Order: sequence, then C-alpha cells, then structure tokens
Amino acid sequence: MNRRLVSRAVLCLTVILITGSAIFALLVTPH
Amino acid sequence: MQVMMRGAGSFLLYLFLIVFPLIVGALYDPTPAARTLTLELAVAAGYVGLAIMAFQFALVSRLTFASAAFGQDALQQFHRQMSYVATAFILLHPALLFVNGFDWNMLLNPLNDSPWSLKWGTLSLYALLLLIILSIGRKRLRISYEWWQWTHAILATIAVGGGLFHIYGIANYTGMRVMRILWGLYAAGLGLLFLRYRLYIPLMKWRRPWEVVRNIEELGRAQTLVLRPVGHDGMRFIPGQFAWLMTGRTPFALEQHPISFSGSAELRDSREISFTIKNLGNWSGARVPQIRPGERVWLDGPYGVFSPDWEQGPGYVLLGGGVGITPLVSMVRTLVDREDPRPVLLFYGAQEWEGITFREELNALSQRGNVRVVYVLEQPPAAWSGEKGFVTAAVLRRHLPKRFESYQFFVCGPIPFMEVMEVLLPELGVPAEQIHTERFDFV
Repeated sequence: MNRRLVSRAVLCLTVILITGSAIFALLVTPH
Repeated sequence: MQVMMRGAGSFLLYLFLIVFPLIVGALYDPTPAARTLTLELAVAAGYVGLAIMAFQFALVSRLTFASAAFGQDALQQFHRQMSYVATAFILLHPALLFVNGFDWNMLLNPLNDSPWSLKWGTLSLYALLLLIILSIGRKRLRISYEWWQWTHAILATIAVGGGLFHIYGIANYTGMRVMRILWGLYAAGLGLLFLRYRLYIPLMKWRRPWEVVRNIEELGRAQTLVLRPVGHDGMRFIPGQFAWLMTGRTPFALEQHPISFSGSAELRDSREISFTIKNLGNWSGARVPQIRPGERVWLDGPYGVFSPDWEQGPGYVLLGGGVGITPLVSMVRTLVDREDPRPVLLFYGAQEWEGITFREELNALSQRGNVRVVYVLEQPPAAWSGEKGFVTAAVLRRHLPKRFESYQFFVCGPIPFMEVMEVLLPELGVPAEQIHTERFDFV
C-alpha cells in the first residue's frame, strides 16, 4: 500500500473527527 | 476486491469506535446546566484523543484481518500519524479548559492542590508527550530500539491508563452508567488484546520452536540465518513477506525484530527458511553474528502484503538498496524457482562493489531465469562501466523495458531512497496503484 494513501486517509479522518467534535459540542451546549 | 472491502470495513469500524463515546454522550447528555461551547469542545477533544490512543495498540498488535487488508507497513505508518492527531486533540483539551478559566497550574505544577482526577489527566498528557519525543528522536537521542520498545510500552500504558482514570474521576459524562460501561469495554478490549499479544501469541510460538542450522556471513555486513522447524511443519510464506524474530531465551522476551524472508518461498522438503539481517548496530551487530547453529529461536509470521503474489502484472521492476534488498531477493529467488517467464528487472543501489549483498547469487539467478540486475554504485571501482551515482530518472529510462507502465513496481530501501522513488516513478508515468513500498525503519 502506498504511503501517500495512508497520509490521505489520516487527513480525511482528522477532518471527520474535528467535524464530529464540533457537532457534539453544538448538540450538547444548551441554546 | 474482497481485501478492499475488508479494508473499507476496518476503516469505518475504526472511525465508528473513535466517535462512539461522543455519540453516546450526545444522546444521553447528562448536563442540562449551562456549559459553554468551548468547554464541551474540550470534552470532545479529550474523548477523541483518548479513543485514538486506546486504539493505537490495536493497529500494531498484529491483528491479521487488519494487516491482511493494509499491510503491516501501512498500519505502522497509520499508527504513527494517528499518534500526532491524538496529541493534537489531547493538547486542545487543556487549552480549551484554560479558555474556560481553568488554572494553568494544573499542568505546570505537578504538586498543585487539584484533585487526583485532574492529576491523572496531567500525567497522561506528559506520558504522551514524552512518548512522542522518544519516538521521533530515538536515533538522535541514541536510544537503542530495544530500550525504546520498553519505554514505548510503559509510556503508552501510562498515557491510556491515566486518561481513563482521569475521565472516570471527573464523572461528568462518565457519571452516566452507559458511558462508564462503554469506556470499561474499551479498556477490557485493550486488556484482552494485550494478553493475546504478550501471553497467547508467545505461548503458541513457544510450542513451535526453530533451530538455527547455519549462520552465514554475507557480503556487505550481513548475516543469513537458516532455520529449521523443530517438531512442527514450519511456515509457508509468499515472497516479500516478513516475520518477527525472537532470539531471547523464550518468546516472552519483549525484544522482537521484523525481518524479511530472504530465501525462496518455494520451500524444499527440509522446510528450511532463511532470513538475512544487515548489521545496523545493537542487536543486529552484537547478537546476530554470535548466534550459533543449534540455538533455538521463535518466529511470529508471516506478515505483509508487499509481494508480487498479491500484485499480478506482465513483469516486475524491483528497486532497492541497503537493508531493503532482502525481500526483493526473496522475490527474485521465488520467481526463478517457479520458472516464471515474466521479466524481472532489479535496480540495486549500493555504495561499492565489494559491499553488495547477494551479488554472486543474483548473477547466478540472472543466468537461470528472466532476470536482469542493474547495479548503481556510489563509489564504483576504476574499471566500472555500469551505472554510477544514484538511481535517477535517467538511469531508470536507460533500462526500463517498453510498456513498463503496466509492470508492478516494488520499492524497498533506505528512507531517502524510497522518498525519491515515490516521487520519481509517478513522474515517469507509473500509476500509483502499481507502486508498492515497504519500510522497516519503524522508529
């Protein structure tokens, strides 16, 4: 497996995790 | 295709397991009291960071379903890069807490009067930072691979254990039973993986010992260990794969080394297998040359997907040098033993003619099969008419056959060599999915 693919997968995962964290914080913070 | 599906499945499962605590937290939100957005973001960052850390071990604990899909090399790299991602999330956690008015003293003064639950968090963070520093700077700090393995295991346990004590002690989201059960399951899974890795696998290996038949000194400061199975039927592997070699008194010793098979995968009746180990100091320089015929060793393997058996093509181009030549030689030997008619072209980068490991054997193999070896010497002898310097685009163009774009390319060598090839080959028109790489220089 090519190393560039791994880096791309990590980048993609990081974006998903940041988005997920933000959604979580928005959902649980009382408005 | 099946492997790809399994790969995608493992990836999605991994992602789900990391965000699952957040999903549970959002569904069962226990804090109707007003908490700021940044405070909840701090919780999310901490949870994501801790979950990544908890699953780091799963990536490198030799679970076959994951390593068969991605290869151990890709998993190791993923493990390394995800540790940076985890560190970023973990650092974001206290940073956001300080935005919310928490006291900096919690981090800077270890003897502060904060509750134990917070001190565990601080300890976890420091263990993680030290672990990262030791992993990045192992060579510069002159720490042996063996010592590093110890520090890595201990610091990782403190980082994950401290993080778990921290969240259990805080008892906000973990005040909910469902969250306590969830993290408890993660901890239990981690514990089971650890037991499998440290007890079950070594125990299984202990019952399958190998005996050193010969320890041959090769050109270029390398040793070939020829091993014979004792009381079992040995190991089947495909060319390019590797196994973890244990040369301690028992397979329970922490010290293990990933070593490529150097012999042909077409085993003869004796079921002897061989590994070639370059002298890189420490274990390979001190212990390996001292291994005597008759000694018992243990193997865990085979592992790896860096193999022509996985990647069919009309021909193969192998590019290597230094320590990386071993799996490539195993490929050449196997293809010749199988009387495979497809052309194999090996670019072999070396410093000087005298230090070329397997030189004689490669010459013999190129007589027997459809194999051509192009040596590229940094310091060639005076009468040398072959390629000089490094493997460059010009060197490749001079020797690559027609329609090389449809061949499969295997690259294994020193890190700078690999980095150059990963840029060069696509520029020459080789599709990315036909370029296969393997690094053994983990840390």
